Amino acid sequence: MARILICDDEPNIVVSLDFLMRRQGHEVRVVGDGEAVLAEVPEFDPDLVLLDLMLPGRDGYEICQTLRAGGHRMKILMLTAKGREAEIAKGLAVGADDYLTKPFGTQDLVARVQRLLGRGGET
Amino acid sequence: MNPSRLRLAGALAAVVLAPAVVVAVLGAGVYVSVPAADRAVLDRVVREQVGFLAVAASLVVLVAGLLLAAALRRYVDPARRLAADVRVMLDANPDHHVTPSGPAELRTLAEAVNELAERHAKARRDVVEQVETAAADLDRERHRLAVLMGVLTIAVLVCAEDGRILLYNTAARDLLGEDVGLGRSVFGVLDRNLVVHGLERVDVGATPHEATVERVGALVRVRLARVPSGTAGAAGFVLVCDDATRPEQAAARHAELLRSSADRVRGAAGSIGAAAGAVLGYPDMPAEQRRRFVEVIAEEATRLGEVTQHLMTESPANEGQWAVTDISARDLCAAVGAILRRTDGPEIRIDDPPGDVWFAVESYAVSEALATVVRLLGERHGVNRVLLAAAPSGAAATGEFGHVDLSWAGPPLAAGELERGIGDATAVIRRHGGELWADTHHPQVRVMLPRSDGAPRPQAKGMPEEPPPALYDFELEQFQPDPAEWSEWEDGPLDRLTYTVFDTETTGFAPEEGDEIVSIGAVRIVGGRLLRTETFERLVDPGRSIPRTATAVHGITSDLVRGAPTLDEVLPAFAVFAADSVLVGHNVAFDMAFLAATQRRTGTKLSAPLLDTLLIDGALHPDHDPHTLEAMAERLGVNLVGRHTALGDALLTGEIFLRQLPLLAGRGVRTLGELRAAAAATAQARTSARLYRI
Repeated sequence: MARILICDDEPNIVVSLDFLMRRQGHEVRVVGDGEAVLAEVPEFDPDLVLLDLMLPGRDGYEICQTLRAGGHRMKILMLTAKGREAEIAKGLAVGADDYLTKPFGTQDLVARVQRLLGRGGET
Repeated sequence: MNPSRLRLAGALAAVVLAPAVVVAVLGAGVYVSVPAADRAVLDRVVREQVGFLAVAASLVVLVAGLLLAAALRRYVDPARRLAADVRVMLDANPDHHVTPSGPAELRTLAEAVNELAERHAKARRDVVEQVETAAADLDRERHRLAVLMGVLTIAVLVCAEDGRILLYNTAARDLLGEDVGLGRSVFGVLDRNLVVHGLERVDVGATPHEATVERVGALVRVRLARVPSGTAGAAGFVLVCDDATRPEQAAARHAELLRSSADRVRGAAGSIGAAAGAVLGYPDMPAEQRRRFVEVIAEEATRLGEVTQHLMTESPANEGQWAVTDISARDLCAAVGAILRRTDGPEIRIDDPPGDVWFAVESYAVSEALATVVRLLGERHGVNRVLLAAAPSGAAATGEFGHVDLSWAGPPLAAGELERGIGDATAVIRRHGGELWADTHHPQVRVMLPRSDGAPRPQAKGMPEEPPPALYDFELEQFQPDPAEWSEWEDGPLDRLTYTVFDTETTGFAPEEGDEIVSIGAVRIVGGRLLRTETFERLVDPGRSIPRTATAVHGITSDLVRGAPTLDEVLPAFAVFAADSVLVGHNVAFDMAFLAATQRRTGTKLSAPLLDTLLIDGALHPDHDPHTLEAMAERLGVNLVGRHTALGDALLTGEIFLRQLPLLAGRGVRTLGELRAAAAATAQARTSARLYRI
């Protein structure tokens, strides 16, 4: 079991993300913008952040960069809507560990989260 | 003795004898007028002194003659030399000078003549100089015009009044095909009636005339204008053509893409809506039924994802909305530097790697965006020197992106500082599909940009140099051969005729035993120039296998020609290429023997006059042997490059032919008829006729 922080401003996708992560047995918290991530992290201390790139205010890249600059070493899995080569290169450059392009399959999401948490093979 | 000398001698004789006659007449007068007694005395005196008188008279005549001859030599001969010298000046050598000689009067005259000649020569030199300056100016203008035409992406053709092409640019050849060539008729590529009708419209004042014509599946928009003629009558016309299909095709593709995407989105939304409605409306439905509905929703969601992906990759809005051009990283960085200097921004230094990266971007907007980043560094952090370096992103050979890194000495940017500080610059980079970000650990900003797929590749060795951007020959306008009657070409000056130099590669040496052509190459000579850009090169399916021995020579294998057109198809195309020109080949009877049967079968007539560089060599150097292309090329100083391809050999033969022309002129062979007569008289011609029965 791990602590997972979900950050996305689209409630319709959060419903599925939240459900899937809980069904994997993780402890889940959900926030809707970047500032809330920075506020939540010190208290919740997540093992992994599911971070959407397109957020109101400070976008996912900046949140990612700020977390890394603050010395946080949790895994970060970016969710992008466009999946352009340059976006992915930038995401990995600013500190994300992996990315998923929307729309994605639920199995794919689960597998990547497991792998990032170092539990590859388990389901 | 010429008539003038004879006349002079007569005059001399008259001058010498006249005093003798006068003395004789006076003597006779005295004799008659004296009294008879005195006459008897005179008779006696004369009779006694007759010897003395005769000697005295002879002496007088002789002395007078000698004196006169000396005077003549002194005055007349220098005058005659002077006249001859003046004639030389007038007819042959204007720089010739008279050597003053003879008496003072003649010397003065000679000096006056020399002065006159010098003034005349100076006036002539001034005129030549002015003409040369004017010609150089004209040349510069023409080169400027050619370069201008070359960079235009629309096709431009300048034609003489009869339709012969005097200038075309590369875009014209790309759009209208290979039949565009100097000296060729524009009516070969555009309908004559369209052009004539257009000219009529222009002449009644509807300038410029515009029409759209179809040409091999593409719509070509043609604009037509008259060249102002000055005093010499009509001076031809200019055609500007562009592809009317391309923008329309793009718009049509866009519309079709939107329409089909909308249909697919509507369909998917309908299915999702219906399935979701059923699940929500009937909570009591069996689990199996509910699962089926949810599967429908999942499938349709996947489909929606595919539709948007398709829209993004196919949308023509990704291209052509702004002026995307290829630019090297070096030039892009230089442009950034120029913007910063203009706006007093920080200084930049460009790290210049040996291998340059090319980007496909809207160069001004992107360099402006990069400059904005540099200015931000200057304003916020007092950075006054930024290093710019570019490299490909990912795999250097295949990656679609490259990046420009901006680095400086000082603290790195904080998260989000870059994005908030540069405003629209981010949008500029993103609309190119790129991204930019600051490294929060090192003082560096990376800007990712799409690489150009058309980045120039290094040219292969041995390739001919880049063809000029536009080809023109306005001299052609003055030269109007009438190819209707070949007999008239017999008088055609060799240096002004149009030639098609060609060569073939074959499966062997015996056409009568079933050997066939596997490739034809040709190049045109117009106005004494080998037009390397106007070439014809086709592989031909010989309808039989190619022996290894033949492949060893020309490298053409059976696999290579499989699916190529047959000679029945290629020969008519070659006839069109060679139309209205004199055919030239090396040992041309050999090639013609291969073409003979196909000419008969397809009814294709190749132009009648034929010239053979081998026979010309035989006429020029009867004692040289062998008359092979290699030997001749060496003798005439022609480079041997690209031997044993049909086009390569045609080019080589063309160069040799062009060097033979001045040698022929030196032997008084100046017209086609004279050359054909000279070539036919060689020993080689007799051998060739016997071998190939022509």
